[in-house]
Amino acid sequence: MRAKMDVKDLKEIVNLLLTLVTEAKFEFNQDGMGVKAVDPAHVAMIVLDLPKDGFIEYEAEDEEIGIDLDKVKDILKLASSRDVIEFTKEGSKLTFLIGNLTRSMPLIDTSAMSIPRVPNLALPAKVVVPVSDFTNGIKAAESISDNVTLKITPTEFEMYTEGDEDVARVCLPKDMINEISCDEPVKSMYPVDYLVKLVKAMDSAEYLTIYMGTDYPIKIEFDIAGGKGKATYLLAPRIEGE
Amino acid sequence: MGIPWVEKYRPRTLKDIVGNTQAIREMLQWAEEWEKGTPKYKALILVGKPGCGKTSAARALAMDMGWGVIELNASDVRNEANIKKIAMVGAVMDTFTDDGRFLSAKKGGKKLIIFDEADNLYEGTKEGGDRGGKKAIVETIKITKQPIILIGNDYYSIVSGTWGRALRSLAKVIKFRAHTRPQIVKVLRRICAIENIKCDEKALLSIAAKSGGDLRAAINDLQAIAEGKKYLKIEDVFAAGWRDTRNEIYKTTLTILHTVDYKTAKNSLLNLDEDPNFVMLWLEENMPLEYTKPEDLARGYEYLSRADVLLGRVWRRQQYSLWSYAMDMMAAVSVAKDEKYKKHPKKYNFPSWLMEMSKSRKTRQVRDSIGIKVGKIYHTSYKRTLEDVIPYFRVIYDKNEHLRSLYTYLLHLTTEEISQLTDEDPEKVKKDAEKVGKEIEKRGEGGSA
Repeated sequence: MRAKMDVKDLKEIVNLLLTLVTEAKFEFNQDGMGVKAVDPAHVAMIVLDLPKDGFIEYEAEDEEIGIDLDKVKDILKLASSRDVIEFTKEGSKLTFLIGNLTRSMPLIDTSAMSIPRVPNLALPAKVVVPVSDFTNGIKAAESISDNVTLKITPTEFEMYTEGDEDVARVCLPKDMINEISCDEPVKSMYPVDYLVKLVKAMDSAEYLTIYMGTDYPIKIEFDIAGGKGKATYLLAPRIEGE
Repeated sequence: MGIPWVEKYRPRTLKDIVGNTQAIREMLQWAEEWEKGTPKYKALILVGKPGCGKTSAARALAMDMGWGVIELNASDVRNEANIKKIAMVGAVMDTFTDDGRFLSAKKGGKKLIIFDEADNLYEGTKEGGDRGGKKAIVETIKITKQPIILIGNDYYSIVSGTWGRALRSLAKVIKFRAHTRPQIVKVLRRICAIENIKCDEKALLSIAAKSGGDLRAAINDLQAIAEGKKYLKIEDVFAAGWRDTRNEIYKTTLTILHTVDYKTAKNSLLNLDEDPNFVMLWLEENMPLEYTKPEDLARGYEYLSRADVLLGRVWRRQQYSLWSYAMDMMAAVSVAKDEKYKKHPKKYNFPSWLMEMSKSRKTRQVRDSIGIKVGKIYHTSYKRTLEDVIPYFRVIYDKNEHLRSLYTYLLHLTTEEISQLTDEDPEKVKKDAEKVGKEIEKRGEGGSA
């Protein structure tokens, strides 16, 4: 396996994965690269796909590579965002090349790492919103509570949080949203710190496609690597009631 | 070696778990309460010896109930922050499983949070340890909407400390018993059948006996000995290099003392995997029981003393090659007798020297600490002090009341140390010493003024 890509793109992929895990199993094949990861609490899941065209150069057979993400992050610190990074797998080592710097590291044994399967969820409501609006809602919630409630109705998308005394609300009416499809209102509560980390790690996305149900997971789809790749993020809701 | 058999044959359902039926019934009841709502005890503590099926039962329970599992064991850092990040979040959120399911707790899709080796939280260490771990576990149990199981060998270290005591009222304890030999043999036999290994019943019994009720150990042993074989015989078990060592050293002692053949004696020594010092003590202890003729006994001890000299050199010079000469000398005990004895003692004994040493450990510690304290003011090693100074020191200490108080004060002697040096009442000696001490301090202040 040998691939060349923009440092910026790899940084984004690594940062997104690091919101959930510290090591991950990357799958390479002729068509491109994919990663799936579940956080240790089994609450969130991320799926990243970067097709062959997203790389500057790419050649690979069917391969699975276990990578220590913290190490890659350290390597990326040595590069500037405009640089190009090349990585090659040789035996049980992965070698990175940035300019005239080479850095190799051992691969992680993947035999004990399972690749999670992505659940098939029937999520009745969908909105497409600008990342900036979503980020605002999350950041407003962060200082008030551990959780944020998201709500989609046929006419609007709403994010609100109630603390002991404080309340924050971001409301996007239909005409401020790129797309909305919803027959009946849906509502779920999610852990806010997962979403905070997620929006911080995003770099390329301008819009988020959000799918939801009531007391059901949220599915967020967005672009990575400057639109060359796709990401899907799943987050389980808080158990309410009783 | 392929997959560890312990994992390969780990029970996938509670039905496959051998023994502990009562414990498993209680676990199932608890799980059913969870299905109906929130039970009185939101957490269980499973306690029992290693290898008695606690972890297997917890995982099988989750499997049977269709629950997801998150597990935190001793290889994870279990400090406050980490437990909050993983268990506490997991406890109030719904779940994705590895096999691609979403579990909604409201619809019965629970996730079981397992704290394995919960008695091994390294709370004491500041950094990198499990500081605040127990506290975070307690807090997690308080808020959890998901079932939690704590697992450990030692109940008391789980419920020790402030937060441990809190656990006692929050969690229900279920005790697991060690497996019986027939239960272990049954499991081993089943594994052998699946692995296509024909096996000698005696071999399985011997593995089971050695395990002491630890099924995991038994399965590991079986894999080490039998994997890849078509037929498992009792000889394989012995050839694998482990046996009941106590029994073995007994046998070697018996062989050496019974036989008059040097080679037999030497072979029995060579096959024994024990510290030669230990073997020598066994011979030393039991020779007089067997050798009733004084001449034989004298010769025997002559050889042993030579062995002892050699072992001493091994120790001092770290010359382990000398071991073999010591072994030769020990084997020579067999030919120290003119002929075989017809009468043998009923049984041989464990070296009494070792028993005495372990009994007298406390006394020796006190003696050494006197040596160290006195040695400090004489600028001498404690050994030298014990040999050269203490015998005279003791007489003076015993007879001269003033010096006794003075030294007790200066050396901060404890009651135990005092009673080793004199027959006087140590409490009284201490009181006197305090008086003297106060006087000295007073005088010191007066002098400087």
